[in-house]
Amino acid sequence: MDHVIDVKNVSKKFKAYENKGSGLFSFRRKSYLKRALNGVSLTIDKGETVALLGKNGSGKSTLIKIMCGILFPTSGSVRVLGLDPWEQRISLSRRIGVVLGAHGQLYWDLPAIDTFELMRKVYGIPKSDYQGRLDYYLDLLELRDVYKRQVRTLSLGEQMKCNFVASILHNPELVILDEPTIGVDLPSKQALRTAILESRKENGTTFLLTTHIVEDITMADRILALDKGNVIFDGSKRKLETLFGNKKVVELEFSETPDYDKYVELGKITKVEGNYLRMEADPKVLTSARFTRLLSKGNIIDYRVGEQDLSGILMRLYKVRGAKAPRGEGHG
Amino acid sequence: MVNLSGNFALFKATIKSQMAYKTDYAISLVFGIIRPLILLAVWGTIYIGTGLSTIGGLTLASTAAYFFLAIPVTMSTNEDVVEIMQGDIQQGAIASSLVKPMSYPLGVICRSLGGVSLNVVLLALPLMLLSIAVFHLALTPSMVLLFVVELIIGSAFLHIVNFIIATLSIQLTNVYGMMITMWDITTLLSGATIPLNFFPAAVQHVLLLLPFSMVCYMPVMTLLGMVSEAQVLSGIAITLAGTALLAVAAYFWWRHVAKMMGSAGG
Ligand SMILES: Nc1ncnc2c1ncn2[C@@H]1O[C@H](COP(=O)(O)OP(=O)(O)OP(=O)(O)O)[C@@H](O)[C@H]1O
Ligand SMILES: [Mg+2]
Repeated sequence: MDHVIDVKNVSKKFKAYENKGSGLFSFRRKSYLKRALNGVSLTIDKGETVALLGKNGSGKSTLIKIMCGILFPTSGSVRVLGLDPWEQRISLSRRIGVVLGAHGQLYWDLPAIDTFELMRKVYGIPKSDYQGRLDYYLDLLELRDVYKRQVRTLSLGEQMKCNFVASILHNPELVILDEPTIGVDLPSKQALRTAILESRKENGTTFLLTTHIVEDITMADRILALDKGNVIFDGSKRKLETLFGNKKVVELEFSETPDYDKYVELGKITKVEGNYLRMEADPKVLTSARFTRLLSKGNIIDYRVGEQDLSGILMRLYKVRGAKAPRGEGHG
Repeated sequence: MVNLSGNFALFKATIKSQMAYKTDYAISLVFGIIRPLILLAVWGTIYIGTGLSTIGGLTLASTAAYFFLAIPVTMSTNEDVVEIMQGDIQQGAIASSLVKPMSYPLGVICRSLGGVSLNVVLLALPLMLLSIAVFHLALTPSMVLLFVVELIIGSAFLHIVNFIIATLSIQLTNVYGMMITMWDITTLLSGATIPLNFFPAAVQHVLLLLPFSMVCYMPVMTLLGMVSEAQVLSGIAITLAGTALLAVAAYFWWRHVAKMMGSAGG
């Protein structure tokens, strides 16, 4: 079967300017080519939920805009739902739903319902389907008290939620979300995730989302990480954990201050506070005789073993795999 | 395939959203009366000072009527293309527009037409009716018909010209200077502040050959009954040809700039 998204060796260079000097009257600018994507290849299949991660400026939004046909790639080829996004943007946009951060499509001076109605016309959604979906999302995202008020009077999170609804009312096969949860409160974040999971189950919708929020990542089957325009990781969360987080977190509580030196050889101590100690250790250590001996001998009153948290793992991923900066190409 | 119902919905939504600024229209209405008075004061002084009874074939009375009609006519042919696109680019809304199943340029024109329609209904029409009553203009159905056709074609021409100007704002960061210059050029060439009759014969001849005259001068003179039908028809033909030519240029130009576009960050 064809891939839903098929990106081959895509690069994107932007013409950028740098001011020479910082004085009020320094108008001399130097132009150069800023490389935002550096030969990116990836495929995404039907029904997958993929989280696209990466530090600020790593190229996530650029890649997404190329997939939607908003930006023209400098080189490489892109196919989304079998279409060329640049040449067939309009056909493609009927079948995909896109949320681009806080950049609104909502009419500022009108209530959100007017934008929803506009979308019904723009996408030609049958009235009965439209009403059913609208009701579903209004209840799910708790927008009943919100959607009839002028958008300019809504909070950021309320706007984001309405924005999300406007982008998904036509029941797209592929949904692309660029930071959909900025400013959204915890219950609504959870509701957005529920919406995503349900749509995946009901319709087999494919999701691609960028996010800086660790909890959003947990619903993804697969993680793609970019750094300086290169793919530095592509795989499951499990694979990410084994590659970059193959340590267990061990927490120990003692009845009296212990001799911490004894524990140094077992792993990396990350926190010591009074009678409490936290360390990251290799799983093998936990089953070693040395460790069990310490456990039985030391005056330990409580003992917990857990997984390393995802943000720590991601920090390590960016550090270890972080791509070298591509050189900017001077341009006069 | 043009997304007709989508574009029409966009047109209506723009009108609805513009209605949030009702008070602005009241202010514009007042300006629509003050502006011709100012122009009249300037030219009236010249008539009286020079002792001429006509300038370029216009009496002081017809000059007065000209200015009172020129304002509502320019209100009807005016457009918002540059403001709309500049706003889209600065706020990054252009990216959101580009993920909709619609042509972006066509969408911009529909949004602009939404604003124009409101201007016509709320401002231009009342001001025109007022001027027609005050100056006792005798209108025939054929004059009115020609006038409406002129307005539509003049407006189409300005939309295309300004679309091209606005696409430059994708490459220039400050398009306002250019926008104001363009506005001044349009005002001058269309006869909005100086009736084309007041120019030397040679200049006037050239200006009448330009589509800009269809934006103000020709429709106003049509209402005043001071141009022949033949003149109007040749003006319409010129403007139509110019507009068609520019539309083709705009199409290819847009395809080119869209590729260069950085879109807004995010
Ligand atoms: N129009 C543009 N002109 C010049 N450089 C650009 C342009 N758009 C993006 N860039 C640069 O390309 C790089 C990638 O930008 P992009 O917006 O894709 O990053 P991102 O991964 O989405 O970051 P964030 O997490 O902050 O949203 C950045 O260094 C950015 O400065
Ligand atoms: Mg981004």
